[in-house]
Amino acid sequence: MRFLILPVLAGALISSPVFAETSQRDLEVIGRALGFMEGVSGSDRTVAIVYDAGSEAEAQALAGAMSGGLSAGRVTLNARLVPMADAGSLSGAHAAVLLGSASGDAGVFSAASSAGVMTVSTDMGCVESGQCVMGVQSAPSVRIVVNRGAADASSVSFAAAFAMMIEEI
Amino acid sequence: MKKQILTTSISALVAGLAWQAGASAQTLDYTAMSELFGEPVTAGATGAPQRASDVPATMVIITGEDIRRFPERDIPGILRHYAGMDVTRYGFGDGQVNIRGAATGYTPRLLVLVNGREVYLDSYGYTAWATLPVQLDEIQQIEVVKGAQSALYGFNAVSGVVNIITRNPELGNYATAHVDGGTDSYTDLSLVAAYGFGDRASVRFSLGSTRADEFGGYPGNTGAAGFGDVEFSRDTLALEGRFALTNKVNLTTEFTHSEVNQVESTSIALAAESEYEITSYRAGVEADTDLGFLTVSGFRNEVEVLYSFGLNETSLTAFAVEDLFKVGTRNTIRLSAEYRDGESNSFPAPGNGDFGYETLAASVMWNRKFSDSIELTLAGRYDHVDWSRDGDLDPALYPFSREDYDVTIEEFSYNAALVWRPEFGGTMRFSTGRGVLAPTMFDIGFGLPVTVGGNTLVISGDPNIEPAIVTNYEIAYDRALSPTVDLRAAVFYHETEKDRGAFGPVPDLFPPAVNAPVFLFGNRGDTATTGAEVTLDGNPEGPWNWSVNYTLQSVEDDLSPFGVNTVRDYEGATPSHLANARVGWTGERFRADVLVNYVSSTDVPMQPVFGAVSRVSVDDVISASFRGEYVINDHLSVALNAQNANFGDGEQTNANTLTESRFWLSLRAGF
Repeated sequence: MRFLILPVLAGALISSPVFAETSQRDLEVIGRALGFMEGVSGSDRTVAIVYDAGSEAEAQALAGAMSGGLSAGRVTLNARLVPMADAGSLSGAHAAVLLGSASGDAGVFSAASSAGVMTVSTDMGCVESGQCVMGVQSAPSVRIVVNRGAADASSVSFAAAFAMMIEEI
Repeated sequence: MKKQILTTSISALVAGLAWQAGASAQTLDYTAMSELFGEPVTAGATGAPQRASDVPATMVIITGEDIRRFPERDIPGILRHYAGMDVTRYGFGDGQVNIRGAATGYTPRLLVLVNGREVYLDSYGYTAWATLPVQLDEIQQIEVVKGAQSALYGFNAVSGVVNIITRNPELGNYATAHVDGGTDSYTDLSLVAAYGFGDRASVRFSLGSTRADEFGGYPGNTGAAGFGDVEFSRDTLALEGRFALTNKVNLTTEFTHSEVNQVESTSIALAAESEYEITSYRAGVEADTDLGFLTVSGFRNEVEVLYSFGLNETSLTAFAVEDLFKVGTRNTIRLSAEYRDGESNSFPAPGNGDFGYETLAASVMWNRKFSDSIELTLAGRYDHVDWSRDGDLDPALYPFSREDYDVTIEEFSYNAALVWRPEFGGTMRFSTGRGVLAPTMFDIGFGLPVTVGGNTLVISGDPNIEPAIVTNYEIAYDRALSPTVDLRAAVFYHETEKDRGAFGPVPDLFPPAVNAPVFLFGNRGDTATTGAEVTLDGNPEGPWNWSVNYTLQSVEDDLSPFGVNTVRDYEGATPSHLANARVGWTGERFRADVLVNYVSSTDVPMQPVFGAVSRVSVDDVISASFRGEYVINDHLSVALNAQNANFGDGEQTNANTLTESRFWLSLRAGF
């Protein structure tokens, strides 16, 4: 029996999505990248953290990091916690960091894009599938990928030099 | 339209580059970009903004923070500490810089830009570095691109490009002043300031004044006697305005003026004292449009140089238009066209008619990202140059008529580079380029009768001279050896065909073919440099950081006989080994840097008086320099600098002067 259970468990682990946790360094890269979004004035940026039950602790940690405003280059990030089920209330945010199963969820992306919110995740699969505008990796070196189709759908555009220095798909 | 062609672009020819949304206009914020990507950024390699790790060339980026830690007072002094840089100090102010070969007098192989404006002198294509209207305190970064880059930058960019970028006044107010005082009557005053008027206008102001005793002459060179009594002087002014006409359109304007008196080495190794007075005007409009980022720019350089052999007055007026855009998600294209008009007075002898040239050029650059690991850059440029002369020359002296100067030169140059990030780590760059070293005002139009022993001889430019062609091949590899240690290495082959200039002590033409013996500026043969360079940079946790680099160069000449038809000897004058080391320590209030340089022995040309050409051996040179800075508070610091501290009253580094130790105290205020 044990010989049957182990492969089943292993198969379950392999098929379950594996989400890289979003670090404070990732958050700083996201914040600096927000500084190159067009059509946004001022230095304050509201960042919605969209989470599921499995990523609530991670969301709380990120919100804590932004408590009182996290300075990232020329902008200051302020967090707004948004449970995945409340993705329809993203309006007013400049960006949405998608955690757990919110990253890659078509409903969350649809809600964010219709509100003109730039979606970002550290899960590169999200941006590759077009369910996020931006994918960010801060280590070992900074990597920023933008899905142009998702950006157009979200009415999001970036400064020209920034667009030339990142990967676009 | 926006879905096919991203509305982006950038100009390397106009100072304002990249785009920080929220800033008053779309200018490249080097600081914000560098902080975002964790590495320097540049538009200097292709004209498009890139991360340093992505550039398709062997390149060094020296940041303002780096610059402020060197015990140096000018840019050649800073560049000598980097791999692959040949720097020869011919006088207190005359440091000549080359890449991939000896830095001879009036080195004409390097393109030097300040905020995109050419600052090399059109007379002979060399850079009188002391005349640059830039204070070290205002430099954002210095970008050094190694190897032939003519397809991207045009003439003179055959051994490399040095692009000096000043801090952008649009991105914040600042003011810095320093007062230096030191040995050998050295004083240096510098004031730079930037101020923004709302979100739409900003200005940068820069002022500098330097005085010092020149280095003493090399005792074996009778032509350099008395140089120690010459006062080096430098006064510079720069005023820049930046205006956001709309959210998508920027205007940049700049005025500069500089006056310099210095000891220097001429192209034929004669020691000389020269006075420079240079004024420049620059303007550019950048517009972010649906067709890409359009740039229209122009500049005018007005140069007066009182050489030991005559007054040269030249002007260079240039206009360029370019468009940089992205096609799809993987292609970046830059199209550009340029017009140049260079003029010179009848020089050095008056009465032969003014002369000059007009150039039309067109170029294209294509960058394609095939995948995350492979990127290709191709660039090509076509130049059409028409020379002409306004007056008739005395047929009793000169071998050329006015019509002989109606010369057309057409040349094509290219650059190609493949950047590959292999799975085993790091970045490899394979690059090649064909550069064109076009004839200069001296090469074409120089005209001077001289009397030697009662006989009249003539030194003449040659309208039939051909451009020198430089072909360059490089393979470079960069990687992080550990989280705190970076490796940069390159091997290169750099070949020059039909090297031009530098006549020898024996005339090239004799009677009866001509009426008087004539020395010609002509093509003198070929030379090639093969070599390698390696740099290790360490930035461990804690107060220490360090850097070491080594360059190996092997030169093979196939030139006209030395001491007969030319004074060129790259084999002898190029050091085979260059090595540099630096250790820095940073505390809460105290910073210290120790630097050591090694230059292996050379045999360099010497010509104390015209016609007396010989070689002089220069032994291995080791120099030690240090700098200690104490930060008094957030605005004030004081630093003690020792440059070449072990040289004492003079170390032989060339055949004209002895390089001396210099010590100075610097008081700096920044706001």
